[in-house]
Amino acid sequence: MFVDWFTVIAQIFNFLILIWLLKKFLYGPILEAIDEREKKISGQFIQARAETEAAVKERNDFLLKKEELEARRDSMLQNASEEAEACRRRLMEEARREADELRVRLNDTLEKERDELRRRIAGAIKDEVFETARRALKDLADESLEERMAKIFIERLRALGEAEKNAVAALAGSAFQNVTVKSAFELSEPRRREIESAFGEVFGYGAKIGFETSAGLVCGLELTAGGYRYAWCISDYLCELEKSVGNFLSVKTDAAVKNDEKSL
Amino acid sequence: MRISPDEVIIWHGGFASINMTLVMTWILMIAMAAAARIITRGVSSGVHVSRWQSGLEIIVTALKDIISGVGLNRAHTYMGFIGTLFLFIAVSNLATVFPFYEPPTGSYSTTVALALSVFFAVPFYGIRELGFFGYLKTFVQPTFLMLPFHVISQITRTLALATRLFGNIMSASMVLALLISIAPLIFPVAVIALGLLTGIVQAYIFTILATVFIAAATHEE
Repeated sequence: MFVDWFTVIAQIFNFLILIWLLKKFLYGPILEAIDEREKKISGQFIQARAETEAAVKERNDFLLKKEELEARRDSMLQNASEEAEACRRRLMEEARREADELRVRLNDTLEKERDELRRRIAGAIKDEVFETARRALKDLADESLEERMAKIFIERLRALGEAEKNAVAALAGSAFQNVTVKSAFELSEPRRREIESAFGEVFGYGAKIGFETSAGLVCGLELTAGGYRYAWCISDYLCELEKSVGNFLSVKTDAAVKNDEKSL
Repeated sequence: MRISPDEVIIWHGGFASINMTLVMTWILMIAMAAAARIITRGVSSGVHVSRWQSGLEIIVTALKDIISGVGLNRAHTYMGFIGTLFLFIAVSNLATVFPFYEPPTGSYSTTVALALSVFFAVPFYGIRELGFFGYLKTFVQPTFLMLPFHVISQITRTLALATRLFGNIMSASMVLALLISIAPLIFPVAVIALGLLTGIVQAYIFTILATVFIAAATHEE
C-alpha cells in the first residue's frame, strides 16, 4: 500500500485546520445556541412550575371560597325556605280566619234576612187574618148589635170602680165639658139619652155629649173626654188579639231561628 | 487500475507534491466550513429555528450523545476532535455521489493521517486528564506484565484504524469502477447506495473506536 508521507503530514494539518474551522463555525455557535435554549427552557420550566404552584394555590383558595359560598347559599336557601313556609302558614291561617269571619258574617246576614222574611211573612199573615176578621165582623155588625153593644157599654160604664172614676175625673179635668161618644153606626135617640144619664150617674154631673159615627171602630162605642178615652169595641178586641198574636209569632220566630242555628 | 487518489499528482516539487487527495480534502474543508458558517450565521437560541440549523443541531447533539454514551462526561471538550473526525469521514464518504469526486478517505495516506491523529490524541487527552504519570500508569494496568501488550495494542489499533477505513472505502470505489465497466446501467446505483451505507458505518466505527480509546486513556482504573 502506497503511503505518501507528505500527504499524511498535510492531511494531519488539514485535519487540525478543519477542527479549528468547525469549532469556530459549527460546534461553538450550535452548542452555544443549544445551551442557551436549554437555559431558557429551564428558566421557563422554573417559571412554569412557580406559576403552576401559584395556580394550584389559587385554585385551592378558589375551591375553599366556593365551598364557603355554597355552604352560605345552602344556609340562606334553608332560611328562606323556612321563612317562606312560616309566611305561607301565617297567610293560610289569616285566610282561614278571614274565611271563618266571612262565613259567620254571611250566616248572620242570612239569618237576619231569614228572620226578617219570617217576620214579614208572619206580619202579613197576621194583618191579612185580622183584616179578614175585621171585615167579617163589620159585615156582621148592624144597628141591633150596636144597640146591644151600647147597652153593654152603659153597664160597663156604671160598673167602673171608685179608683177608676177618680182617675178619669183627674185626667178629664175641665175637658169633661167636651165629651164625645163615637160609634160605628148611628145610635138611636133613646140610647143616646140613656148614655148621657149613665155618664151623669157615674161622674156626678150631666154633660152635653156629642155623638159621632166612626167606621174604624168596626163595632162598639168609644167615649173620649180630653185626654181620657174609654171604649168597648170589637176593634179594641182585635187590636189586643193582634198584639198577643204578634207577640206569639215573634216568640215562635226566635225559637225557629235558634233551632236553625243549632242545625247549622 | 488506480487504487488511491494519491496517484493523481497535480503539482510536484521535490518532497512536496499536491495530489488529488489534498485537493479533494481542501474542497471538502472549504465546503464544510462555508456551509457551517452560512447556516450558523443566523443561529437562533429560540424555539423556532431554521431547518438547516435543526439538521446541524441534530448532528451535533447525536455526536454529543455518542461521546457521552461512551463515558466521556465533558462532551464539549472532545466535540472538536471526535466530531470533526466523524463529519470529515462521513462527508468524505457521502460525497461519492458527486461525479468526478475522489474520496480522500480512499487514500491510505489520509486514513493513516487520521489514525495518527487518534494515536496522538489519546495520550494528549490522557495526560491532560490524568497527568503524565497517571497516563503512563494506564500502561501497567492491571499488572506490569501488560505493558508490552498495551504498547503493541497502541500501534496495532492505529494500523487497524487506518487500514480498515482505507480498505472499505477503496474497495467500494474499486467495486464501483469494476461494475461500471461490466454492467454500467443499474448495478452501479445499488453499489453507490451500499457505498453510502458503508461510508456512514465506517465513519461511525472510526469515531466510536477513537472515542473508546480516548475514554480508556482518560479513565483511571
